[in-house]
Amino acid sequence: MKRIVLPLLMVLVAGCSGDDSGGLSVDDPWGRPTPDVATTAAFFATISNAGTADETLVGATTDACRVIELHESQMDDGVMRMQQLAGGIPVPAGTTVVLQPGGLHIMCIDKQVPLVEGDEVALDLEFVDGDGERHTESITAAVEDR
Amino acid sequence: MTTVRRTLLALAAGVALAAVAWFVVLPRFQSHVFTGTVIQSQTPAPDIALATSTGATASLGDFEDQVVVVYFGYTFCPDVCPTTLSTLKKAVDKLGGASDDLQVVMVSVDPARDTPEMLREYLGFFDPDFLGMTGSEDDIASVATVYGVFFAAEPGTADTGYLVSHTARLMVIDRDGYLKLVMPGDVTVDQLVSDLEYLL
Ligand SMILES: [Cu+2]
Repeated sequence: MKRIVLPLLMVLVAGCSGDDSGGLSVDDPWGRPTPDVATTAAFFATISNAGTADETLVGATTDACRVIELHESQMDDGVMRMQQLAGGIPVPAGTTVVLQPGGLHIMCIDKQVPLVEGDEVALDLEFVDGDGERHTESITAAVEDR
Repeated sequence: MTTVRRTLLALAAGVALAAVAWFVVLPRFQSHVFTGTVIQSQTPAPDIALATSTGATASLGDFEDQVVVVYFGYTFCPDVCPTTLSTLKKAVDKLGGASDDLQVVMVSVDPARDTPEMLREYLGFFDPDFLGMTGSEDDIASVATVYGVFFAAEPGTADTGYLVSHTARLMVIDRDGYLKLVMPGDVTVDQLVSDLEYLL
Protein backbone atom coordinates (compact mmCIF):
# COMPACT_ATOMS: atom_id res chain seq x y z
CA MET A 1 0.00 0.00 0.00
CA LYS A 2 2.74 2.47 0.98
CA ARG A 3 4.27 2.03 -2.44
CA ILE A 4 1.17 3.47 -4.12
CA VAL A 5 0.44 6.28 -1.68
CA LEU A 6 3.79 8.02 -2.06
CA PRO A 7 3.70 8.38 -5.87
CA LEU A 8 0.06 9.47 -5.61
CA LEU A 9 1.00 12.19 -3.13
CA MET A 10 3.80 13.34 -5.42
CA VAL A 11 1.42 13.64 -8.34
CA LEU A 12 -0.98 15.68 -6.20
CA VAL A 13 1.78 18.04 -5.05
CA ALA A 14 3.12 18.43 -8.59
CA GLY A 15 -0.39 19.15 -9.79
CA CYS A 16 -0.77 21.98 -7.28
CA SER A 17 2.55 23.72 -8.01
CA GLY A 18 1.89 23.43 -11.73
CA ASP A 19 -0.78 26.08 -11.35
CA ASP A 20 -0.48 28.75 -14.08
CA SER A 21 0.10 31.85 -11.99
CA GLY A 22 2.25 29.88 -9.57
CA GLY A 23 4.90 29.48 -12.25
CA LEU A 24 5.21 33.18 -12.90
CA SER A 25 7.43 35.45 -10.83
CA VAL A 26 8.35 39.09 -11.20
CA ASP A 27 11.62 39.92 -9.49
CA ASP A 28 13.59 43.05 -8.77
CA PRO A 29 11.16 45.63 -10.18
CA TRP A 30 12.70 49.11 -10.31
CA GLY A 31 12.71 52.46 -12.03
CA ARG A 32 15.14 55.35 -12.19
CA PRO A 33 14.63 58.60 -10.24
CA THR A 34 13.26 61.01 -12.80
CA PRO A 35 13.20 64.81 -13.13
CA ASP A 36 9.89 66.32 -12.02
CA VAL A 37 9.42 68.01 -15.39
CA ALA A 38 9.87 64.74 -17.25
CA THR A 39 6.52 63.41 -18.42
CA THR A 40 7.84 59.90 -19.02
CA ALA A 41 9.68 57.23 -17.08
CA ALA A 42 10.50 53.55 -17.40
CA PHE A 43 10.18 50.54 -15.12
CA PHE A 44 12.18 47.35 -15.35
CA ALA A 45 11.98 43.86 -13.85
CA THR A 46 12.95 40.25 -14.37
CA ILE A 47 9.99 38.04 -15.29
CA SER A 48 10.40 34.28 -14.96
CA ASN A 49 7.91 31.74 -16.14
CA ALA A 50 8.61 28.40 -14.43
CA GLY A 51 5.15 27.14 -15.33
CA THR A 52 4.11 24.97 -18.23
CA ALA A 53 1.88 27.55 -19.91
CA ASP A 54 3.15 30.45 -22.03
CA GLU A 55 2.43 33.90 -20.64
CA THR A 56 2.35 37.34 -22.20
CA LEU A 57 2.69 40.65 -20.37
CA VAL A 58 -0.01 42.68 -22.09
CA GLY A 59 -0.23 45.82 -19.99
CA ALA A 60 0.08 47.51 -16.65
CA THR A 61 -1.65 50.09 -14.52
CA THR A 62 -0.42 52.32 -11.73
CA ASP A 63 -1.48 55.52 -10.02
CA ALA A 64 1.93 56.92 -10.88
CA CYS A 65 1.24 57.16 -14.61
CA ARG A 66 -1.81 58.06 -16.66
CA VAL A 67 -0.94 55.51 -19.30
CA ILE A 68 1.49 52.64 -19.54
CA GLU A 69 2.78 51.14 -22.76
CA LEU A 70 5.11 48.21 -23.23
CA HIS A 71 8.15 49.26 -25.22
CA GLU A 72 11.43 48.09 -26.59
CA SER A 73 14.50 50.23 -27.17
CA GLN A 74 16.86 48.93 -29.78
CA MET A 75 20.34 50.05 -30.75
CA ASP A 76 20.89 49.93 -34.48
CA ASP A 77 24.28 51.22 -35.72
CA GLY A 78 24.50 53.59 -32.78
CA VAL A 79 20.95 54.85 -33.35
CA MET A 80 18.50 54.29 -30.51
CA ARG A 81 14.97 53.49 -31.59
CA MET A 82 12.06 52.90 -29.25
CA GLN A 83 8.82 51.30 -30.25
CA GLN A 84 5.65 50.11 -28.66
CA LEU A 85 5.11 46.36 -28.50
CA ALA A 86 1.42 46.25 -29.33
CA GLY A 87 1.33 42.48 -28.86
CA GLY A 88 2.87 42.69 -25.41
CA ILE A 89 5.98 41.00 -24.09
CA PRO A 90 5.87 37.19 -24.41
CA VAL A 91 7.25 35.11 -21.54
CA PRO A 92 7.13 31.54 -22.87
CA ALA A 93 6.99 28.63 -20.44
CA GLY A 94 10.36 27.88 -18.92
CA THR A 95 11.97 31.21 -19.86
CA THR A 96 13.12 34.36 -18.13
CA VAL A 97 12.69 37.75 -19.75
CA VAL A 98 14.71 40.68 -18.46
CA LEU A 99 13.34 44.20 -18.80
CA GLN A 100 16.34 46.52 -18.56
CA PRO A 101 17.67 49.91 -19.72
CA GLY A 102 18.29 49.97 -23.45
CA GLY A 103 15.86 47.13 -24.02
CA LEU A 104 12.40 46.04 -22.95
CA HIS A 105 10.66 48.40 -20.55
CA ILE A 106 7.36 49.34 -19.00
CA MET A 107 6.94 52.89 -20.26
CA CYS A 108 5.20 55.42 -18.06
CA ILE A 109 3.44 58.20 -19.98
CA ASP A 110 2.11 61.33 -18.26
CA LYS A 111 3.89 60.66 -15.01
CA GLN A 112 1.58 61.76 -12.18
CA VAL A 113 3.99 61.75 -9.23
CA PRO A 114 7.63 62.62 -8.67
CA LEU A 115 9.88 59.57 -8.77
CA VAL A 116 12.45 60.19 -6.07
CA GLU A 117 15.25 57.89 -4.93
CA GLY A 118 13.89 55.58 -2.22
CA ASP A 119 10.27 55.82 -3.36
CA GLU A 120 8.19 52.76 -4.06
CA VAL A 121 5.69 52.51 -6.89
CA ALA A 122 2.87 49.96 -6.90
CA LEU A 123 2.10 48.50 -10.31
CA ASP A 124 -0.40 45.90 -11.47
CA LEU A 125 1.02 43.87 -14.33
CA GLU A 126 -1.53 42.20 -16.55
CA PHE A 127 -0.71 38.85 -18.05
CA VAL A 128 -2.56 36.62 -20.48
CA ASP A 129 -1.75 32.92 -20.41
CA GLY A 130 -1.86 30.41 -23.25
CA ASP A 131 -5.60 29.83 -22.74
CA GLY A 132 -6.37 33.54 -23.05
CA GLU A 133 -6.95 33.74 -19.30
CA ARG A 134 -6.12 37.15 -17.82
CA HIS A 135 -4.49 37.54 -14.44
CA THR A 136 -2.78 40.31 -12.53
CA GLU A 137 0.55 40.33 -10.71
CA SER A 138 0.91 43.18 -8.23
CA ILE A 139 4.45 44.42 -7.77
CA THR A 140 6.22 47.23 -5.98
CA ALA A 141 8.98 48.91 -7.95
CA ALA A 142 11.88 50.51 -6.10
CA VAL A 143 12.96 53.92 -7.33
CA GLU A 144 16.74 53.69 -7.48
CA ASP A 145 19.56 55.27 -9.45
CA ARG A 146 21.42 52.23 -10.74
CA MET B 1 73.96 19.57 -8.48
CA THR B 2 75.45 23.07 -8.53
CA THR B 3 74.79 23.50 -12.23
CA VAL B 4 71.15 22.55 -11.71
CA ARG B 5 70.93 25.02 -8.84
CA ARG B 6 72.60 27.73 -10.84
CA THR B 7 70.25 27.16 -13.76
CA LEU B 8 67.23 27.29 -11.47
CA LEU B 9 68.47 30.50 -9.85
CA ALA B 10 69.08 32.10 -13.22
CA LEU B 11 65.61 31.03 -14.30
CA ALA B 12 64.00 32.48 -11.18
CA ALA B 13 65.90 35.74 -11.65
CA GLY B 14 64.80 35.83 -15.27
CA VAL B 15 61.17 35.33 -14.32
CA ALA B 16 61.39 38.04 -11.65
CA LEU B 17 62.94 40.46 -14.11
CA ALA B 18 60.31 39.73 -16.70
CA ALA B 19 57.58 40.27 -14.11
CA VAL B 20 59.02 43.63 -13.11
CA ALA B 21 59.31 44.65 -16.74
CA TRP B 22 55.76 43.50 -17.52
CA PHE B 23 53.93 44.87 -14.49
CA VAL B 24 55.98 47.93 -13.53
CA VAL B 25 58.09 49.26 -16.37
CA LEU B 26 55.92 48.57 -19.41
CA PRO B 27 52.69 50.21 -18.16
CA ARG B 28 54.59 53.49 -17.71
CA PHE B 29 55.48 53.59 -21.38
CA GLN B 30 52.16 52.33 -22.66
CA SER B 31 49.80 54.93 -24.03
CA HIS B 32 46.29 55.12 -22.62
CA VAL B 33 43.92 52.64 -24.21
CA PHE B 34 40.70 54.49 -24.98
CA THR B 35 37.29 52.87 -24.71
CA GLY B 36 35.92 55.39 -27.16
CA THR B 37 36.84 55.40 -30.82
CA VAL B 38 39.70 57.84 -31.29
CA ILE B 39 39.06 60.46 -33.96
CA GLN B 40 42.00 62.07 -35.72
CA SER B 41 40.83 65.58 -36.50
CA GLN B 42 42.60 67.85 -38.95
CA THR B 43 40.65 70.92 -37.85
CA PRO B 44 38.90 71.91 -34.62
CA ALA B 45 35.48 70.40 -33.94
CA PRO B 46 32.62 72.03 -35.88
CA ASP B 47 30.97 74.72 -33.80
CA ILE B 48 27.71 74.16 -31.98
CA ALA B 49 26.10 77.56 -31.60
CA LEU B 50 22.59 77.26 -30.18
CA ALA B 51 20.29 78.63 -27.51
CA THR B 52 21.13 77.22 -24.09
CA SER B 53 19.12 76.12 -21.13
CA THR B 54 20.44 79.15 -19.25
CA GLY B 55 18.59 81.45 -21.66
CA ALA B 56 21.70 82.67 -23.48
CA THR B 57 23.30 81.40 -26.63
CA ALA B 58 26.56 79.53 -26.48
CA SER B 59 29.09 78.09 -28.83
CA LEU B 60 31.87 75.57 -28.36
CA GLY B 61 34.37 78.42 -28.26
CA ASP B 62 32.94 79.37 -24.86
CA PHE B 63 34.46 76.22 -23.38
CA GLU B 64 38.06 77.04 -24.14
CA ASP B 65 40.57 74.72 -22.47
CA GLN B 66 37.76 72.45 -21.29
CA VAL B 67 36.85 68.93 -22.24
CA VAL B 68 33.31 68.92 -23.65
CA VAL B 69 31.07 65.86 -23.82
CA VAL B 70 28.24 66.31 -26.30
CA TYR B 71 25.17 64.10 -26.25
CA PHE B 72 22.16 64.35 -28.54
CA GLY B 73 18.95 63.41 -26.72
CA TYR B 74 15.50 64.57 -25.61
CA THR B 75 13.51 64.90 -22.42
CA PHE B 76 10.53 62.77 -23.49
CA CYS B 77 12.97 59.85 -23.73
CA PRO B 78 12.21 57.56 -20.75
CA ASP B 79 14.91 54.96 -21.02
CA VAL B 80 18.17 55.61 -22.81
CA CYS B 81 18.64 59.37 -22.26
CA PRO B 82 18.16 59.30 -18.46
CA THR B 83 20.41 56.25 -18.28
CA THR B 84 23.20 58.03 -20.19
CA LEU B 85 22.76 61.24 -18.18
CA SER B 86 22.89 59.26 -14.95
CA THR B 87 26.11 57.59 -16.14
CA LEU B 88 27.58 61.00 -16.97
CA LYS B 89 26.65 62.33 -13.55
CA LYS B 90 28.26 59.37 -11.81
CA ALA B 91 31.40 59.90 -13.92
CA VAL B 92 31.49 63.58 -12.93
CA ASP B 93 31.23 62.61 -9.26
CA LYS B 94 34.02 60.06 -9.60
CA LEU B 95 36.28 62.54 -11.38
CA GLY B 96 35.89 64.90 -8.43
CA GLY B 97 37.87 68.14 -8.81
CA ALA B 98 39.06 67.14 -12.29
CA SER B 99 35.50 67.57 -13.53
CA ASP B 100 35.79 71.34 -13.01
CA ASP B 101 37.22 71.46 -16.52
CA LEU B 102 34.54 69.21 -17.95
CA GLN B 103 31.37 70.48 -19.62
CA VAL B 104 28.49 68.14 -20.42
CA VAL B 105 26.19 69.37 -23.19
CA MET B 106 22.94 67.79 -24.31
CA VAL B 107 21.71 68.99 -27.69
CA SER B 108 17.97 68.39 -27.99
CA VAL B 109 16.75 66.38 -30.95
CA ASP B 110 13.18 67.34 -30.03
CA PRO B 111 13.08 71.16 -30.13
CA ALA B 112 9.27 71.17 -30.27
CA ARG B 113 9.03 69.74 -26.75
CA ASP B 114 12.38 70.85 -25.34
CA THR B 115 12.29 74.54 -24.54
CA PRO B 116 15.34 76.07 -22.83
CA GLU B 117 13.40 76.08 -19.51
CA MET B 118 12.42 72.46 -19.90
CA LEU B 119 16.03 71.51 -20.62
CA ARG B 120 17.28 73.50 -17.64
CA GLU B 121 14.96 71.76 -15.19
CA TYR B 122 15.42 68.35 -16.75
CA LEU B 123 19.22 68.46 -16.88
CA GLY B 124 19.42 70.25 -13.53
CA PHE B 125 17.99 67.15 -11.93
CA PHE B 126 21.08 65.20 -12.99
CA ASP B 127 23.61 68.01 -12.52
CA PRO B 128 23.01 71.77 -12.46
CA ASP B 129 26.19 72.20 -14.51
CA PHE B 130 24.93 70.10 -17.43
CA LEU B 131 24.05 72.47 -20.26
CA GLY B 132 21.14 71.97 -22.63
CA MET B 133 21.16 73.37 -26.15
CA THR B 134 18.29 73.73 -28.56
CA GLY B 135 17.23 75.73 -31.57
CA SER B 136 15.26 75.44 -34.76
CA GLU B 137 15.02 71.99 -36.24
CA ASP B 138 17.14 73.17 -39.18
CA ASP B 139 19.88 74.52 -36.93
CA ILE B 140 19.95 71.32 -34.91
CA ALA B 141 19.97 69.25 -38.08
CA SER B 142 23.03 71.17 -39.34
CA VAL B 143 24.90 70.51 -36.10
CA ALA B 144 23.83 66.86 -36.05
CA THR B 145 24.98 66.36 -39.62
CA VAL B 146 28.54 67.56 -39.05
CA TYR B 147 28.78 65.29 -35.99
CA GLY B 148 27.43 62.29 -37.87
CA VAL B 149 24.32 62.20 -35.73
CA PHE B 150 21.01 60.95 -37.06
CA PHE B 151 17.66 61.92 -35.60
CA ALA B 152 14.12 61.52 -36.85
CA ALA B 153 10.67 61.81 -35.29
CA GLU B 154 8.74 58.58 -35.69
CA PRO B 155 5.03 58.10 -35.20
CA GLY B 156 4.04 56.98 -31.71
CA THR B 157 0.64 56.21 -30.27
CA ALA B 158 -2.17 58.59 -29.33
CA ASP B 159 -0.54 58.83 -25.90
CA THR B 160 3.08 59.37 -26.92
CA GLY B 161 2.38 61.41 -30.06
CA TYR B 162 5.79 60.83 -31.57
CA LEU B 163 9.11 59.36 -30.49
CA VAL B 164 12.51 60.47 -31.69
CA SER B 165 15.04 57.96 -32.92
CA HIS B 166 18.52 59.32 -32.47
CA THR B 167 22.20 58.46 -32.45
CA ALA B 168 23.01 57.77 -28.80
CA ARG B 169 26.79 58.22 -28.91
CA LEU B 170 28.85 60.59 -26.81
CA MET B 171 31.21 62.99 -28.61
CA VAL B 172 34.21 64.07 -26.59
CA ILE B 173 35.99 67.29 -27.58
CA ASP B 174 39.45 67.77 -26.06
CA ARG B 175 40.93 70.84 -24.37
CA ASP B 176 42.27 72.09 -27.70
CA GLY B 177 38.80 72.03 -29.25
CA TYR B 178 39.33 68.95 -31.40
CA LEU B 179 36.85 66.10 -31.60
CA LYS B 180 38.85 63.37 -29.90
CA LEU B 181 36.53 60.49 -29.03
CA VAL B 182 33.22 58.96 -29.96
CA MET B 183 31.85 56.71 -27.24
CA PRO B 184 28.96 54.24 -27.33
CA GLY B 185 25.84 55.35 -25.49
CA ASP B 186 25.97 52.35 -23.16
CA VAL B 187 29.49 53.13 -21.96
CA THR B 188 30.06 52.31 -18.28
CA VAL B 189 30.91 54.87 -15.62
CA ASP B 190 34.42 53.43 -15.19
CA GLN B 191 35.14 53.44 -18.93
CA LEU B 192 33.99 57.04 -19.14
CA VAL B 193 36.06 58.07 -16.11
CA SER B 194 39.16 56.37 -17.48
CA ASP B 195 39.00 58.15 -20.85
CA LEU B 196 37.98 61.52 -19.43
CA GLU B 197 40.60 61.41 -16.68
CA TYR B 198 43.25 60.92 -19.33
CA LEU B 199 41.98 63.87 -21.39
CA LEU B 200 41.49 66.23 -18.43
CU1 LIG C 1 9.58 53.58 -24.13
